[in-house]
Amino acid sequence: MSEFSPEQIASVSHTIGFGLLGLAVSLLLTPLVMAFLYHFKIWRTNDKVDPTLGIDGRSGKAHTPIMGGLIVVLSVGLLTFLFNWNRQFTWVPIGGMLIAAILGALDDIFSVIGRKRRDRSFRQTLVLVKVHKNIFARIWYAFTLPWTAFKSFASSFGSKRGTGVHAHEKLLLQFAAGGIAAWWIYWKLGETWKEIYIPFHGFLNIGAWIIPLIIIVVMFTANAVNISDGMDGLAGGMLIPTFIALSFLSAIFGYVPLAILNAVTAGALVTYTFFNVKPAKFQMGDVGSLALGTLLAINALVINAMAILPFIAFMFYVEALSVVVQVIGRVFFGRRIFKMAPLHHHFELLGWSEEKTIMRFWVIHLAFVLLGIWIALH
Amino acid sequence: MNILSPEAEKVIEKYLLLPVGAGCQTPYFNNRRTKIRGGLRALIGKGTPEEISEEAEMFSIRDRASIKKMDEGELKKFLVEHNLGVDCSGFAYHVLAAEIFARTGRKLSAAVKPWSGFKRKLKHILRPAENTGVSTFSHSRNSIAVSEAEIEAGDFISLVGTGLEKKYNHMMVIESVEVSGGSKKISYVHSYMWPSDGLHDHGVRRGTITIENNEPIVNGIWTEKEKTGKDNYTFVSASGAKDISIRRLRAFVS
Repeated sequence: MSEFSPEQIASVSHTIGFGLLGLAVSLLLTPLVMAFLYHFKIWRTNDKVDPTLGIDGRSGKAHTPIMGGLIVVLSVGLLTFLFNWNRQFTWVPIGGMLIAAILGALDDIFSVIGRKRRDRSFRQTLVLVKVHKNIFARIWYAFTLPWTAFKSFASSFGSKRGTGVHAHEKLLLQFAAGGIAAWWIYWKLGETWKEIYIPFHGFLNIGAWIIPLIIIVVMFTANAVNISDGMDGLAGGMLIPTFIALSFLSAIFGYVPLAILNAVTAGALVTYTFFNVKPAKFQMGDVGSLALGTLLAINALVINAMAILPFIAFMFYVEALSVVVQVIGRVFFGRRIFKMAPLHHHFELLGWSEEKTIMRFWVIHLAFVLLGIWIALH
Repeated sequence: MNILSPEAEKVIEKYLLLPVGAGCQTPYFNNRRTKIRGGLRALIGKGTPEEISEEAEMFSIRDRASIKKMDEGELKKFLVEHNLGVDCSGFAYHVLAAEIFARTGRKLSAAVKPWSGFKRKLKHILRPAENTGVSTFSHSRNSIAVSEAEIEAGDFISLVGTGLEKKYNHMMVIESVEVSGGSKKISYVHSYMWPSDGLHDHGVRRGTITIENNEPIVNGIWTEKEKTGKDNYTFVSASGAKDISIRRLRAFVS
């Protein structure tokens, strides 16, 4: 005899149904998106801006469309708008996702069709402050030095320079998305969301510090997913269990609209991953990775699972931290810690096949997602 | 015959034949012109042979250039074009680091360090190879002057104030000392660039100084690239230097 009530079973069935609907709608959208991408030739070019295409066995990835994440973003946006448009719980996650998606789309499109943009370094600007013949230009350069410093700092974490949206522009827009999420969570959702739930411990009140923390978590998670989108099937395959876990936890904690939102996302990701496994028909692109990273962070924060994020987004965080570690190693110690960052390229250069790397990452990620669910239930 | 430890010799051999592709001599590269800050040490003339080789492979990936198919000359050209190489003190640092570890089990960064300036000391802790130049090696707290009679493998020749403007420093590591009667053949190894080297024919190489009856080394016969006298730019640098001395790390002094 079942220990679950008929209402609970109906709720689970309802949520899974939306997951299947997400899968079906994304499947219908796939040929349209592919036709769009091929028509406008939005694909990876084999130029020297993307160094990873020089790794053995990767040259075949040239001319693979890069905005496949649109399938997930459009499916999730459309289904949420039609069936799950909830002022309290789904407006802001979808809003944050769309801001990140627009930012990612701009980056994807400009990285293909954009012109190389000049990026003056902090050192060059310092020289101009001293030597520029025009006194007003010197004053202007001196006045904008903090901005130049920020740009230089951000560029050290950027994977490519030249065309596309620059790293500092990305950070600003992500800050905006994180800011909106923080405003909503802190001021609109209620008193419960002003505290962080720590498993095995209880609620922790850090006052207004939760606002910058939310912004940082959203920005870091969005970039972590973005960074992990570097191999066929890697990000998609890891996002599926993450969103299923979020859907499960949302349902358990009583956030039905969020359970549906996460289920739809997981369903759409199944379609995406089917076409993204090697040899990929398309890649996620920034439009998908930034959007889904933002959605993942906001959805976790709304169910008060900030402390669980390092587990349910484990490999994404590991990948992002590998970049941070690599930058620290380069700047402070003058050495590479990894052969190449993010981490999946390190293993690739060590001789692991793409399939082996991806599958091991999937399995490790899945193990930590399960651990995260278990911890979240305490 | 007095020689360096096998560990230090191994480092020298790797610099002379980099462990990448067909292998080639490590070119000379000095960061003085490019002035890269906060970069990988292999890209600023301070890397180990392994680090330089790894960076060469990274550049080959980025440039879609198959480094494995390059012959020695092409590889050297590739390295030079990508600012990959080592300068004199970067080379000496890694050779002497291997030597000091083999002899005493100590790290060179602990034995040779700047003695003034908080910022310099901090930079040295983080990046010892990049912040240990000729002047640091030659500082009296890090090394002592030895005479031609006492010279042995592991010592180094320090040239301070070389070049036309007398503003460059240089150093050479003594690889072996062979005494035969009153004659002494000092073999040194260094990373250097002569004006006559052209674009690619520079880097880590060996040379010898032959002296009689422990005369000053500037009076000896300097042979490098089969050239002696004024054709030998190392000799020209040494004889024109403001100060030339043979020095021994204090860590080697028992």
